[in-house]
Amino acid sequence: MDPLSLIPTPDVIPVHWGWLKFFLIATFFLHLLFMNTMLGIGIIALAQSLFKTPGSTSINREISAKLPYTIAFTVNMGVAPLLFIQVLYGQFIYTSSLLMAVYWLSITAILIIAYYSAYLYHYTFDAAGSARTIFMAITVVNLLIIGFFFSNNMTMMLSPDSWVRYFDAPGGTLLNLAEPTLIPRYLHFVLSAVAGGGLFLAIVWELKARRHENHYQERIQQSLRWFIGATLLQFAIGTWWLFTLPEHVARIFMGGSTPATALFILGMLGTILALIFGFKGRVRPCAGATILTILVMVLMRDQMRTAFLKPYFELAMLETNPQYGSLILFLIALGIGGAAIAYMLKLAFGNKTEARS
Amino acid sequence: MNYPVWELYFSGGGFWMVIIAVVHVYVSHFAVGGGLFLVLTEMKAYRENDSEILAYTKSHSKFFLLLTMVFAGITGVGIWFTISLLSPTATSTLVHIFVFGFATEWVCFLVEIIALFLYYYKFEKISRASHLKIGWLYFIFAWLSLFFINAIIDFMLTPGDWLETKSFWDGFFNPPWCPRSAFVQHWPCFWPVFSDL
Repeated sequence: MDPLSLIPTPDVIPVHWGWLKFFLIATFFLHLLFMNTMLGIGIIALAQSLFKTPGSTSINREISAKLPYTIAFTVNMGVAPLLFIQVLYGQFIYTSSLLMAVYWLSITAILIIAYYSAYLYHYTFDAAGSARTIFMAITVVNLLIIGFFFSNNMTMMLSPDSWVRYFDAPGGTLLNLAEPTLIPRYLHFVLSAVAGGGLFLAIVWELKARRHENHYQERIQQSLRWFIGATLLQFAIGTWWLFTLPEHVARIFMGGSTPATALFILGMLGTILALIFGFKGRVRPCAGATILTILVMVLMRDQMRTAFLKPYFELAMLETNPQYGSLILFLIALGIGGAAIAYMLKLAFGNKTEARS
Repeated sequence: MNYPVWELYFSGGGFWMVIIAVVHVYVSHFAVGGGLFLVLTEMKAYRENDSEILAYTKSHSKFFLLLTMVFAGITGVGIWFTISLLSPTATSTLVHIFVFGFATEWVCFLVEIIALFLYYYKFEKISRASHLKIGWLYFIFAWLSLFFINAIIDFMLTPGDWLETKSFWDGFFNPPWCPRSAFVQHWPCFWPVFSDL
């Protein structure tokens, strides 16, 4: 069967696809920053509890307070790219979601369990003693499952030739386990989360050290070791991922496409730079290099998706019915929302000497 | 080519829709009305100089955070997942017409989250006036998020002039939007507030 015949007809978009792609990339980048922090600090807290790392209690107490925030913002920042990807690639992602509907729908319940377990970990941190590890394990395992489902969907949407399996299993129970890129892609995201979590903790300790006369150097180093270890492993996993890509996709990063190749080189340089700063214990430059590298990786991911779908679809094929008034509404809301956030942060943190009356 | 159909062997798609929609709508109305309830109760505590009411407001804000941020927030995303699996064609149409309406609601959701975190974690740690302002901002943006989603939900029932013009605004300000907003947006949210106060 010709896979092309399985792809539904795309709907009309309200503005030029470039706008939607910009918002998709920008919001996915923010989502990834929070997701890396959330999953990373969760894995680190769990590992420290299981292996009883020295000083783990106070570090994990710190993590317990921050994890619920990161889940909230990861979810919120995930909503926007999920919206924009549906507008640009709806005919692909709705179909792949439907093929794995049972798993996809279960994400809601799994996420609620993970979220409440993170709050239980936080609120019972001292009372539960070592039993609190169970709460963190529940959170981390559930978040890892959600990530695995997302990796399945994001790879299945790129391979319409795998959709023919639907005719044998229309009950929404298909995963994309035969896809060669699935496991290295998933491990790449998990490892980047561990690196991101380690870096986030290093930033937290460095900020505390500035306020408390440098008592946290050991913790900064400990956190950076997570970052360095996971990033070094990333070279192996990233290479594995690259070699599992179809030839026509891998080629774009090897000179086949100038922008994709340039991004690939920038990504490598950014990673090496972040590692150098990490080895030197320079937290802020390391964070700067890492954030830029993540942005480059997001752009590479976009190039990869475009290459995967090229035999079937290009964004320029989308029909537009211009409705720029709705875009202006969103931009105004973004401005007002941003101003409200800035105002609230000023109220909460701006004037510490104000009397509480 | 059409979208495939999710073959549900033990229940119809409506079963899953009802479960998640009823639960979400019930709790999410608290997320709007409850925000007003919190600031009004806090104001009452200050006005009457009543530390017990203030302590109650603080403890209620923790419950409110856990209920609305986690349960209402995630089931809201869950509705989206559910409709896209049960009616991908309709969902795709809706998302393509109202992508920036949904995106505007997402901004409100973001402000809500930050406001609620600050309201709970800064209780009695910042000035009363600042704390109340954050509480009011939470309520305003929660109300706005309902305002935007309500227009989109109304469109699903009665698209009005959009059928001919295909205009975002005709779809947004559809015929029952005004009366339905006046009723749906206010009565279920606010009656618990005023009955409790």
